[in-house]
Amino acid sequence: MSDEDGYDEDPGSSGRSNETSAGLPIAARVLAVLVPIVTVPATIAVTAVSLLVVERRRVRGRWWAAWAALSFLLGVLISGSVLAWALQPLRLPAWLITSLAGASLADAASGVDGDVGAALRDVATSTAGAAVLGQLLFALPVGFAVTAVFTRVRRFKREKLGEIEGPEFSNWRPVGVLDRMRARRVTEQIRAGHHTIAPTEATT
Amino acid sequence: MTLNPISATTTLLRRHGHDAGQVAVGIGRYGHPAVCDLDTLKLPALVLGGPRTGKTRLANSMNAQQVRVTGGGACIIDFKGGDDIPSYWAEVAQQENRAFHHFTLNEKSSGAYRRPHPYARTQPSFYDPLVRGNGDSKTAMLLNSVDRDGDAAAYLRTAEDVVMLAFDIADLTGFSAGKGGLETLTAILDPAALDKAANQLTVDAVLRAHPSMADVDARRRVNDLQQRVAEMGQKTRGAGNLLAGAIGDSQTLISKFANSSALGGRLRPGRDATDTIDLVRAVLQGEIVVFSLPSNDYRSLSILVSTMVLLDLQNTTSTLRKNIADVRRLTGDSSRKADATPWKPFVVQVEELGSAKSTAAAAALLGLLNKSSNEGIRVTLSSQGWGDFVAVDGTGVWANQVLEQVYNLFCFQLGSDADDQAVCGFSGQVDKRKPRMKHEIDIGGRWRLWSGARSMNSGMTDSVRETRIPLGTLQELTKDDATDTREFIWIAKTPTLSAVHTVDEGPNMWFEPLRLVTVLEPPNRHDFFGDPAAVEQAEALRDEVLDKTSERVRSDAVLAHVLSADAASVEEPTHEAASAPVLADAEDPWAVAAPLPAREQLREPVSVRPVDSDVPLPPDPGPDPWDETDTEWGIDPWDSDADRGQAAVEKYGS
Repeated sequence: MSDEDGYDEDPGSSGRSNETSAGLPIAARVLAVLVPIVTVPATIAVTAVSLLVVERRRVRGRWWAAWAALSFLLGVLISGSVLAWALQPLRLPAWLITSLAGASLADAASGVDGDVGAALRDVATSTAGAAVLGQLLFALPVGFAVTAVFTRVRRFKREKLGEIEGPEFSNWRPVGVLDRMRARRVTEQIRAGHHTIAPTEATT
Repeated sequence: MTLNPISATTTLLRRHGHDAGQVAVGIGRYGHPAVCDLDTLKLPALVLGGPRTGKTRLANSMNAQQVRVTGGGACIIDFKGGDDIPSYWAEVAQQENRAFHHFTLNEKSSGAYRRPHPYARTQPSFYDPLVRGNGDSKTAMLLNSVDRDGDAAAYLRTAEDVVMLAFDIADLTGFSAGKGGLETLTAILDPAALDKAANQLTVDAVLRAHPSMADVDARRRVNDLQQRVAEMGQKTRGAGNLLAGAIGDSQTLISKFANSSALGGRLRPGRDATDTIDLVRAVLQGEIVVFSLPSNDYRSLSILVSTMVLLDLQNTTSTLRKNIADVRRLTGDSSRKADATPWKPFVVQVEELGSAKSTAAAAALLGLLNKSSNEGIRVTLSSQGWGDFVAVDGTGVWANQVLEQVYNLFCFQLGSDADDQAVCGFSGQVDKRKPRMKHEIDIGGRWRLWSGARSMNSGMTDSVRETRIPLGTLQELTKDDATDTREFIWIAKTPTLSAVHTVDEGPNMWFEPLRLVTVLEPPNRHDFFGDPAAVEQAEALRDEVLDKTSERVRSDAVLAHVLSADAASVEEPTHEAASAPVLADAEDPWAVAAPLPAREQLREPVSVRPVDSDVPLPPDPGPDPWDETDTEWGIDPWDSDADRGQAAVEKYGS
C-alpha cells in the first residue's frame, strides 16, 4: 500500500498486479466480480451514489451514520429479525435461480432446522417484489455505513484541504435545493414576524 | 400584502428561551434566519451602503421590530425627505397604537403640507428644542447648533454669556412662562429689554427657583445679574464692539430659526401634547417622531434643526438620567438587569447622515452616542459611504470616534474602494492559510471527485494575517432590484468580533453575506390613501390615541414628575407650558404657524405685549444663506391666511 490511509493507493501498482495474477485463476476473478453484482447490486449502487454525493455535495459523515442507523432499524423491523435482514440480499439470487434455472431451492433449504432454516426457506420462496425490497432493505444501511466510514477516513485530508483559503479548496457544501426551499420558507416566516421575539422582561 | 401586526400568540409562544428578545435582519447562506439579540442593539449601530441598496429598509425594519416588541418609541431624523420614511413609521405607529408626530420643512414649491399617511395629523407637529433645561444648557444648545469658524468663533464666548444671562433672567422673572425658547430670546435678547427685565428681579423669585439657596446668596444673585446687565448695556453703546456683535450674531441665528419660511414657524410649542413634539415625553410614552429635513432642499437649515434635535436628545438623556431613580420608584420597577431602564428602549434613527456634513452636528451626534445607551436610547446611523464620515472634519478623527462607538455595522454594496477598505479594516484580522504555487493539490479532475491535499513537510501553504473580510468583498455584494435581492455583511462586536451569523466561523467562511428580509414592510409605493374606509379608520384611531396621550400628560404620575422636575429651573411645569400657552394668539408673534388664529391676530404687532413693549424685533435677516434659490421665499403656505385655508383642506384628509 503506497499510502497510510489507502486513499491514494494506486490499483495499477506492480505489487498488487503480480499478486493477483499469480494467486487467483481467471474464473475466481470473474466470480469475485459477478457474485457481488448478483447478490448486492443495490448495495453497490447506493454506495456509489452516496460516495458521489459526499464528494460533490460535501454531506458530512454523521448524516450518513444517522441514515445508516435509521435504515438499519427500518430494515430489521420489516424483516422481523437481524438474521432475516442479513439474509435479504440472498432473495435476489434465490429468485433468479428459481425463476430462471427452474431449481427448487426450498427443497435444499428444508434440511436446515431452527430459525436459520425457517429464514432460508422464506428466502428460497421469494418473489420478484420481495427480492427487490430485500435488496433495498439491505443496501441502504450498508451503503450509508460504508459511506460514513469513507468520509471518516477521508476526513483528515478534507480538513487539510479546507484550511486553505479559496473557493476551490473550501469544504463548505454548496447551496442545494433543500437550502433554497428553507430560504423561501424562512423568508416568509421572517416577513410575518415569526422570528421577532419580545423580551421576557417588560424592559430590557 | 396584508399588513398584520406580530400576533401576541406568536410572540408569547416564543418568549421562552429568549430572555433578551430578538429581531430578524435576513437569511444566511443556507437559508437560516439571521437574528440579532435586542441587547446587542443597546449600543450604536451603523448601516452603510450605496444608493438604493436597502439600508433604509434594514434600519426601518430592525428599529420597527424593536418598537413593536419592546413597546418603546422612536425618533427618526431623515435627511432625505420624501414620504417613504414618515409613511412607514406612521403605519407602524398605527399598528401599535402609538402617537405619531411628523416635523417637516415646507416644500420648496410652497405647496400645502401633504401628510404622508392617514394616521398622520393634517398639519406638521410643532417642536421647541429649547423647551427644557436651564439657561446654561439652552444656551449651549442654541449656540452649538451652528458651525463656528474664522471670525465667528470670536463671538461665541460673548454670545454664550449674553444668551445665558437672557435665559436666566427670563426664567427667574417668569418672562419665559408659556413661551418657547426661541420666542423668549427673540423678545429679551436686547440690552434694553434685558435691563428692563433685570430690574423686575426679586429675591423671592430667585428663592422660588432655588429653594435651597440662602437669602443672602439670593440677594447677591439678584445684584450680580442686575450689575452684569447694566455693564452689558454700557458696553454695547460703543460702535463695533464685540458684545454688540455677539448679540447681533445671536439675534441673526434666532431669526433664522424663527422667521424661516421653510420652518413655517413650527419651531415653537404648539397648543398641547397632541400637536407638539417633546422628546422626553416621547421616550416615556413610546411615541414615534419623524423629522423630515431634506438636506438637498435646505442644507444649512436641515443641519441647524437636526443639530438642535441631537442636542435636545442629549438633554433628554440628561433629564432621564436625573430622574431614573424617581421613575423606578413611581413605576415599582425592580429590574436588576444591567443597563435596564424603567422606561422602554427608545430608538433614534439618523437617515443619510452623510448628507449633513457639519462639525456642530457631528459633535452633537458623538455626544449622543457616548451617553445614550445607559438611558435606553438606541442609535442607528445610516449613510451612503464611510467617506461621508471622514469628510465631516476632513481628518477622519471624528469618523474614527464614531467607529469606536459602533457595535454593529451593517454594510450593503459599496461604491468605492476607500469605503471598502475602511469596513474591511473594521472587521478585524485573522490568520489565513494561503496556497502557494508549488502546493501539491489533487482537485479531483473534471468532476472534482476524491479531491484532496497532500500534507507535506515542505510547507506548501503560508499563514498570512489578513482582514477578516477580504478587500473588494463589499463592492461585490449583490444588489438586484428585479429579484429584490440585497446582500449585506453584518459585523458585530458583541459577544466577540465576528462577521458570520448562521454558520461557524472558520477558513473559507470568515464572513457571511446575508440577504435582507424585512419584517411587516408595506409593499413598495403602497397607496395608504387608497381605501377610504381604512383612511377613516386611521384618522379615528389617530385622534383617539392623541387624546389619550394628551390625557396621560395631565394625569400620569411619571410624566408629571419627570416633565415638571425637569422644568423646575424655569419655575413652570414644562407640560403645562406646552399644553396651555399663556399668551393669547393675538399677542403671539409666533402664532403665524398656529392652525386656527384669525387674520387680525396674525398681524398683531409685537408691541402689544406688556412686558417687552420696548424690545426691538431682531433685525431682518433677509434671504437666508442656506437656501440656494429665491423660489422657496415665495408665499409660505403657513404664513398666508388664504393659503392657510387651503392647507386646512388637506389633500387627503379630514
